[in-house]
Amino acid sequence: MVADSKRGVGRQIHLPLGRAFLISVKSIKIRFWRSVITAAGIFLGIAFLVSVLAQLALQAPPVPKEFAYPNVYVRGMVKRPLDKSMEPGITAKSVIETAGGYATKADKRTVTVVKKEGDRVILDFENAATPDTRLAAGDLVFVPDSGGRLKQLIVALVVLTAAIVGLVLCQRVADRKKRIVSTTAVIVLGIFALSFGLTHSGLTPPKTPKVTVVQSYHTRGELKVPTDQPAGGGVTLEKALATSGGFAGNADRRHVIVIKRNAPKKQVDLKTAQGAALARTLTLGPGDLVYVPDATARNRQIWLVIMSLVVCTIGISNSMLMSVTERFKEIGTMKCLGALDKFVVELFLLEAMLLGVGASFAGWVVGFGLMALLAGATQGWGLLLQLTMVEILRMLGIAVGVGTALTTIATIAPAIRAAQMPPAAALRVEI
Amino acid sequence: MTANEYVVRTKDVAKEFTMGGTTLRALDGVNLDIFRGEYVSIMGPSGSGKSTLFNMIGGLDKPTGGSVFINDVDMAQLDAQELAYLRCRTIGYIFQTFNLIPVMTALENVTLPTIFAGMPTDDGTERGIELLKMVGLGDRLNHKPSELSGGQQQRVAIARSLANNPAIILADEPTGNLDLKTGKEIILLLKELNKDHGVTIISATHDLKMIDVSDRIVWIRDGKIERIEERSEIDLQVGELEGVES
Repeated sequence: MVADSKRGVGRQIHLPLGRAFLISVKSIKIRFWRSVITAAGIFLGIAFLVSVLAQLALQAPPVPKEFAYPNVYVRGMVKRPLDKSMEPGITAKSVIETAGGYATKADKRTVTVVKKEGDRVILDFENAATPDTRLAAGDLVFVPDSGGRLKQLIVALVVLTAAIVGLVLCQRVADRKKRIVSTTAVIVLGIFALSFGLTHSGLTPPKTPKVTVVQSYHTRGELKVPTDQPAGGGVTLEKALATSGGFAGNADRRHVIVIKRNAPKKQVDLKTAQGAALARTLTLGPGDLVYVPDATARNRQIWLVIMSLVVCTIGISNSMLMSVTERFKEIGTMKCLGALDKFVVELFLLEAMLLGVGASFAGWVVGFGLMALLAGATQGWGLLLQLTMVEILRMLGIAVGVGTALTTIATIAPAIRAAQMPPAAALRVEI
Repeated sequence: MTANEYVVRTKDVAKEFTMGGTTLRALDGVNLDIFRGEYVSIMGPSGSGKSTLFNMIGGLDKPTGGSVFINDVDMAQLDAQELAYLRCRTIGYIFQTFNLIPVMTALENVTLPTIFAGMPTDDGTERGIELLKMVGLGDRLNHKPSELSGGQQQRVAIARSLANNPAIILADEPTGNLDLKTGKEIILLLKELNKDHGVTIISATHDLKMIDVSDRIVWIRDGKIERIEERSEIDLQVGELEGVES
């Protein structure tokens, strides 16, 4: 097992890496909460870094939605509510006729026309002198219920009575916690029932139905005239940029982003000949978006990435330095028991790597998740479809790579220093 | 192992510390030969240099002058791997502050040196249990150091020092953190090991109870050996010395 040296003393064996691995896994598990605190330093740095990267990946705005209103609509107290395709000369009266005329409970005095833009016109058709009105595509004619007021009154009375009875019953519940929960539930239910009853009593016009269409391409960002133009006939990127009046002053021509409706996101560098050639051949279809980023914003973001790297480095070095120094005495003891310097260093490096991988992965999940949630909630969830799998995986790679590398590098110096100390000196250290 | 009668020899060992520009001579030419199977106490007041001598003999620090021989091998000639081998198998250490690994159980602490010696896990565990039973902690295998009393922790440390059957046990103030009764128990345990297993025990201490069990007492003052007494010479004085703190 051990070859005796000339001096009559054996040479200490190198333990296999697996042994060090098992010990370091155990060490992390045993001092779990201490490890969590160390990992938190790594985690926060990486989460910050990834959130900045995610922001970069999500800088293009969502593709604008386009709507069409091909019909006029009749709703409320008519015999047959309908959608009628727009023809010239349709009026409010004629469309009510088409809908089979008024129902018995129709309130002819307050017929409401909701224009496409949202304006409302109220017409009194009980009075024969009221002039008819012409309709345009997207207009909605609503005939209210003559018994609507009465319905609202009844609903209000029923709901209020039920709520009062409910609240009285709730106060008799003995358990304080259950009482609060049930009281809240009654109040919420009451408010919900009341608002539902009041809006569905035949007095409020429904929303105008609209049809989503996709027919234009869109240009956004640092252009003189960002525009939405019909996308037929193979418009090239170059032409689209020209139609938008060309680049604005601080346009970032190196990172023009093209988001195709049914293809992965492309980034074109228009300062290279290759990019310019691509701009002449790349055609835009309906629903495609060209985004020209702001060059100064990009510089700001690069600055943020650098800052987040600095924060990462400081946070991680601090965590790892502490976690090594506070164990000097333990290292001294291990060396007294026959541990080689190499084994001590291995132990700390493996532990650092395990912590680094785990914490950076968590940092990626949280940093990316938070940014995605924020962008989705503020700009529409459709925006997230712009992210490609490659971008997401690249962020994961950067997070785990940077996190693990920084953690390991930050551990090497203190670990080697601790391992090379004479055991007597390491044992004297008091923290 | 050589059949030499000396297990440890020091030759003109000196150690200087430099602190804030001033040089402190902690050891000043110490010559000491220790026989195989002997129980030696190194006595002296605090700051006399006995802990420094302990570190030199144990290979935990390097002398600035002179040499230390373990089994006739000059420690200064050894590389890191050979020193580690020596610390692992030839010498067992016991400290005043026990120095157990706080996050490991008693059994894991005792098993650690067997891991470093390359012993298979099962054999190491078996050995650890056997040793802990021997020091009277057979029912405390899975307790952490914080769940044990000072005396029990020192017993774990003694079991650990024996893990790889060392020829020498070095004890630095082993009773320093213990009360009188527990200290006495630990001293008796060390003596028992010395008698039954033939382990050489070298103990730096200022606990006068040690005198009772020692074969020789080395008195150190100001980094120099003041005198070396055989047990037989001082037998009569023990009663008078007990209770007197140096």
